Amino acid sequence: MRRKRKYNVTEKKMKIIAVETRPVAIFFLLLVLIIIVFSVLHDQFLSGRNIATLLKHASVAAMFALGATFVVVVGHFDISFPMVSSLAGMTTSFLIAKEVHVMPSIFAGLTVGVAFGVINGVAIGVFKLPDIVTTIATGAISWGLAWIYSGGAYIWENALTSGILEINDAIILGVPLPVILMVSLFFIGFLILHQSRYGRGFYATGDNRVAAIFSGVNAKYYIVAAFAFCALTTSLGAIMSNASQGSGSVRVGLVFLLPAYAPVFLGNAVFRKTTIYGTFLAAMFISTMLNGFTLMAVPYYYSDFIIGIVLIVALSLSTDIVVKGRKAKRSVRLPNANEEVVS
Amino acid sequence: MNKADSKTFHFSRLFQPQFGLIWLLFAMLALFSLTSAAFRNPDNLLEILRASGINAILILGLTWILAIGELDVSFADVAALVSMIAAYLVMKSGVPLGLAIVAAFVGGTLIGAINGFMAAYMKIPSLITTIATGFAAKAVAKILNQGKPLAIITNSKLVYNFVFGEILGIPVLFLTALAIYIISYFLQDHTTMGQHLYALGENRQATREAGIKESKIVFYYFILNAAMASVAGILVTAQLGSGVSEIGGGTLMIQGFTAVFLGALVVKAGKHNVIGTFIGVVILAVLVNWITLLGWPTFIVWLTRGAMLITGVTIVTLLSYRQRTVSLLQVE
Repeated sequence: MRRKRKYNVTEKKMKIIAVETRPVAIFFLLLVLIIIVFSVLHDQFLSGRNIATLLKHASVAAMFALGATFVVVVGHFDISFPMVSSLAGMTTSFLIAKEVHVMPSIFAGLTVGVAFGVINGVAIGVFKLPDIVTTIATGAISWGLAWIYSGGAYIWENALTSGILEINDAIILGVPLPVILMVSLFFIGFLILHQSRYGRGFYATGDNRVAAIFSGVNAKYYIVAAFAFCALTTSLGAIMSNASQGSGSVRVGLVFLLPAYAPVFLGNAVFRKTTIYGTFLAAMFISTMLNGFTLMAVPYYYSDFIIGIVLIVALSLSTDIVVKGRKAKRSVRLPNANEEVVS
Repeated sequence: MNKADSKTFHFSRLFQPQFGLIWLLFAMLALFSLTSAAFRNPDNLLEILRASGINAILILGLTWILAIGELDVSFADVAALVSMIAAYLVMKSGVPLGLAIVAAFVGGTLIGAINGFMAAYMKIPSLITTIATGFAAKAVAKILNQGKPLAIITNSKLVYNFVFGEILGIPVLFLTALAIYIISYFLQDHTTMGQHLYALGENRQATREAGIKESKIVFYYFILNAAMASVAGILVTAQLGSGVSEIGGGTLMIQGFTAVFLGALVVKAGKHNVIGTFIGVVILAVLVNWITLLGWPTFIVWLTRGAMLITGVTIVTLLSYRQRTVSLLQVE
């Protein structure tokens, strides 16, 4: 009798583990399947050159997703980064056009971006304004500012001679520099979020703010830090995107709202938690797919449709109804428009 | 408190803070008409009414979506999708205009049904699903004509008369929007539907435990929102004479949120309501029109809009804190 019960318990545990790992297994199977299908359909897909291109294109979107991950982990949402990163990109391009050296220009762009990130963080974390509407407002302001430099026109002066293209095209040990930059930023993010006590602070702030505050976690600082980090990586992404285009555009960041959030929530759907590695793998998954479709000569405007459908399907499949046959519960905790944070 | 709650009309009530924005609107109208001859030109005033009519219809649903504590960022893309579907069916498939409009309307509403189903029954945060469906809708709109606008050339005056017609010198469009808003005001303030609306926004759990089918209500509001956006998409198509895959250069979403949050300052301080939304739409239309007439660059519009939105949000947040403190004091 006793033995039998013990056996049942282990069986139950095994079943739970199996249910939890099922999405991860499906995810990797799909990734392998996609790679096989595209390499069969197009002989250039697995060539070294294409993989380098794939990673280089992926690195910009992945950087946007990395920033968004931090904001989602602290239980908030940022809609301003497409516009804030555009402002940062325009600032850098404007300074380069005014014959400022590359590094100070990039630094100034990042500073402007981070300043807006800090404003967002303070407004939401300290003054407790609702996050989505506040970031829409700061986004509108920063986009208005981005137009001041050139009235909305492309800034391409000096881009060829300043050396920013060389930074974007540099290859170190056979790996493009943007890829190295992206991977190292992800590694730093991984160390902060999963290997340090600050990471616990970020997760605690997002999971239960009141409990976090009573446990001595200074939730305000974590929110400000998350928004600032988001602004930093997305601004860098926008600057790199401008560099690969050879000109500064006011619309550079606008297309990245979905490509930034799709990996975060795809990773969340797969690993049942918002994580750095989940975001990274999901970003690679989406980029592989888009790259494959580009090789098949599918026009660019299909990409948003593909990402959108992938995200919706992944989110639907990861709900408790499908995974556990149970009534749905909110898997991702995000504040409502009307929710008030008590502290 | 008693004074504000009493149903009897006092003249002094008009000067309470929740009517401040209405006075601001009157002040703006007076100031702009006195200083600018181009502004007080009847054609210009009609243009303002026409623009605010379409925008008002577009964001009626959004007001209630925000009031129940959900979010929708896809409404502008739904309008664009509907616009492109209608244009595509008329020009590329040769479908009669009326049928094309119905088909486009159904297509747009379907997006709302997807949003509503995911938010209400699958409990996925509505912001994520609406970002995904919004981008997908925009992508489909671009796929239909390779990202280019598609001009509609037709002899049918079906929607044209509706958009450009006038009754007693006032655009039909504006009058229709006004009528829709008056009906929705009665639905919101004098029926159980409105009671459920604000109950959901206040406390979802308590509403469910009171026996109200909250999932169903959320689902229907998302469908209503997409339906209103679809109607606005058809009107925009008629106004421009072509299907467009990006209405207002992608700025429509921020415009809508600004109007709704400004509106939350009026009539019911701190709560989203339709009358307030309507006033917010008109104020924004007047402001944008005036800035354009002055010949100021576009970014001034953006800066003003952002500044107004953040001011509105701050005041709403402060007001709701004060309300909560007051009610806590009363309980004690």
